[in-house]
Amino acid sequence: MTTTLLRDLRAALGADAVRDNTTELMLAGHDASNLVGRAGAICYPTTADEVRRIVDVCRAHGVPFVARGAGTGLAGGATPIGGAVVVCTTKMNSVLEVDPVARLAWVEPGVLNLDLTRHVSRWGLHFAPDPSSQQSCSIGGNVANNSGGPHCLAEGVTSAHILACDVVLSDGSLVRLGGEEPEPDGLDLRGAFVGSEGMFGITTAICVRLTPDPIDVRTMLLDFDTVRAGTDTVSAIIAAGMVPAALEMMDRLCLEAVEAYIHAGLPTDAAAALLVEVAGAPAAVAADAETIERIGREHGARTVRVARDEAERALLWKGRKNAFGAIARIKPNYYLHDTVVPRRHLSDVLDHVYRIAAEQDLLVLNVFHAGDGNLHPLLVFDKREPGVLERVHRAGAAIVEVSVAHGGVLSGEHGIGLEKRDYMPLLFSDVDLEAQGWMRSAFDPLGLANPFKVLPSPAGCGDAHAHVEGLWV
Amino acid sequence: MNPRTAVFAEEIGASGEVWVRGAGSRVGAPDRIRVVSAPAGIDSFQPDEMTVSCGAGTSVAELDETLRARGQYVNLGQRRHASGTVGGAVATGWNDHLRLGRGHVRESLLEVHMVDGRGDIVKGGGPTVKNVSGFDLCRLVVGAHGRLGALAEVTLRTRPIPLATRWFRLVDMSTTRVVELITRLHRPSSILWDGHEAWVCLEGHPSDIDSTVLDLRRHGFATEEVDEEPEPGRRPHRWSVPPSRVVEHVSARAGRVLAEVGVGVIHSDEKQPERSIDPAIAGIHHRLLSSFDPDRRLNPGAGHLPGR
Repeated sequence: MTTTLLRDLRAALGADAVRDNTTELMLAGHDASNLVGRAGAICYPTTADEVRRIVDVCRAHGVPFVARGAGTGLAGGATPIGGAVVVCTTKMNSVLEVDPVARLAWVEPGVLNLDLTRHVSRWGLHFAPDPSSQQSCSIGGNVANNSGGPHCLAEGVTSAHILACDVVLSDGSLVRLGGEEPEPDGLDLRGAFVGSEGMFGITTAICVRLTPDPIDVRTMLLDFDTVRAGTDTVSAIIAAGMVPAALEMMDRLCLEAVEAYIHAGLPTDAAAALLVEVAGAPAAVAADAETIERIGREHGARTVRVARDEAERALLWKGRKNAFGAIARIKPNYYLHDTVVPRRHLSDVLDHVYRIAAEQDLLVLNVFHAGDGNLHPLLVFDKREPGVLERVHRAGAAIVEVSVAHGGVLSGEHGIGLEKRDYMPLLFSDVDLEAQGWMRSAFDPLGLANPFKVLPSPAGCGDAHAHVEGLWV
Repeated sequence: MNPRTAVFAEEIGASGEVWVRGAGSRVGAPDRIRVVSAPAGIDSFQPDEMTVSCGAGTSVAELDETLRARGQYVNLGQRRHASGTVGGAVATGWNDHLRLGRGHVRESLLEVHMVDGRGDIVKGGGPTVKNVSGFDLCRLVVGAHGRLGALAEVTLRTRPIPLATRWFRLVDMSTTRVVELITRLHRPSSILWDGHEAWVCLEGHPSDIDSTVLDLRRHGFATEEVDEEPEPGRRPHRWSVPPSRVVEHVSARAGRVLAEVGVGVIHSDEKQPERSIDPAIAGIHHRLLSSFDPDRRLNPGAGHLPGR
């Protein structure tokens, strides 16, 4: 990092808002993935104007910038490359305005997902996207990754809940994409921006759509002797004309790990369990719950446990959402994968996942959004074992390939980032990737916003192909 | 990709202005321009995936009929425009007055194959109901009026048809009462209001609808079931305003407008004043059009998009 860049950043923001000490640079050098890059400086803006000033300085010096929310991303999307300036939005964490009648809110990007839901709960509203990291991930990060979560099966992913974003572009202009009004003029630039992984600009304020809390909720746990019986139940539920609020699956190894962690009385002798939640108006909830129980039993469900109260419901969800913490009892490290396949291929692809893990002598747990076909194989390992990282790498690649071969896609909610950038040609032709490069260039012709992600070279236009220190996936 | 898409791409070619005509029911082709039609036909409907893939030239009526047989539908704004082609519905992105409950048409598109201005076939999105692999070209395509590419094939997300769809008319709906109505209803599919009367669409389980109506009556709303709602399209112009400003707009024009409460669309006899476009936004449009269709040969001028 050049002295003049640091001097100019400090002149623009104040000395306290620009950090370059070794510890903070190291922490900002990666997100929650295993991909490690190198930050040149970390800036903590508190206003849109400060973000704009950072971008102006970066542009003047020809140095890229990387927006960072809570750093919970799993694909290296916020990993800075080659000394980029990290723009950390954690101090932009205010809920600016709530309109409970229009059911929308303006928030700053650093507001945490669960904090927003807690803030608006007094009006019987919530923010529907609920990633497993919702206690710690930010709305800005949700926008960047078009995040999902268990309850996106019925409600849709983040894009469906974003009305507008104020964005600082790399040329320093502050623009509003979308709007509170339902039919803004022109193309849906808001929709293009959501999921752009920080490569189109930095959002400084977000208008979100709020969802009314359901009147009634029924949470059920169904367990099966085979994984296939569980996945067939999923398809049958959807084919019967229901879209449950959530439809999640855990396999045996996952059930064992979670049960040892939370003691919820989970069926650890089952091959798989489905966590199903129906929510809405009371008669619909009752009817759907009855149909789901019938379908489950027709497909061999051994038991159907219905949460009796909010405490039991919370316990079942705690098991699902904290599964990743529970696996620390098995091995110290994990690599969480994320692909999507058509629901009808879930069983076949899971068979492949187990085979791939066995071939690489790895343990795999599966806990995933079965209703969307969104797989999350969790490869657990101890990185101190010689050669294990290479085996994890090979398994990860094989899981991506088998998912795409079954008509699936690379990512359902983690994004592409650095992790899957070089797999993009599995799904897209050179022409397709060039078109995605056009989208990027339309917003950021200078190529300064979070370069080297998502698009493999040469589709990244101005982005040189970058190597990430410590990159192993 | 369906082989007929390659044939369509050849027809589009790489030079000369061309207009993709669906049924011509939404937007007619201008004179003296070469007209082509997108491929038609349903390729695959997977009820247990809740997805359907078809040529963009497929009629909305055919799609509706196929899906209805399995208890599903796809939101293409049919209450506003029931005829025409799937490609026309996606290209215009026109929403109907059930948007409050059923969502935006743009959320229906999962995957698209289209032919860009150079004559190349471009794919965006993917066939699964959830996908964040790369930038979201699908959202950009909905409402682009075919200016970024001539739509050839699409995969759409389907939904179960609600068990019941019922409309209710409420009289003596003052400003205060309509705000109370919004907060009292859980998830209505539509609230239309003209300043004096309101029409509410409730969808779901019949017993839940009955309970909602009872609750409304208990709170003094004179609620009467009606066979159909007023036709919003009877008024020729659409205003787009923040939903929080609907009340003030309607109050000033009671009886002369029909508003989609909670959404912000106001159907009016008067045209909404032109809104200014931020030059930076126009610049993004210009760069997108220049990349996807450098010669501006696809549906030239359609949609009155900002940017040259």
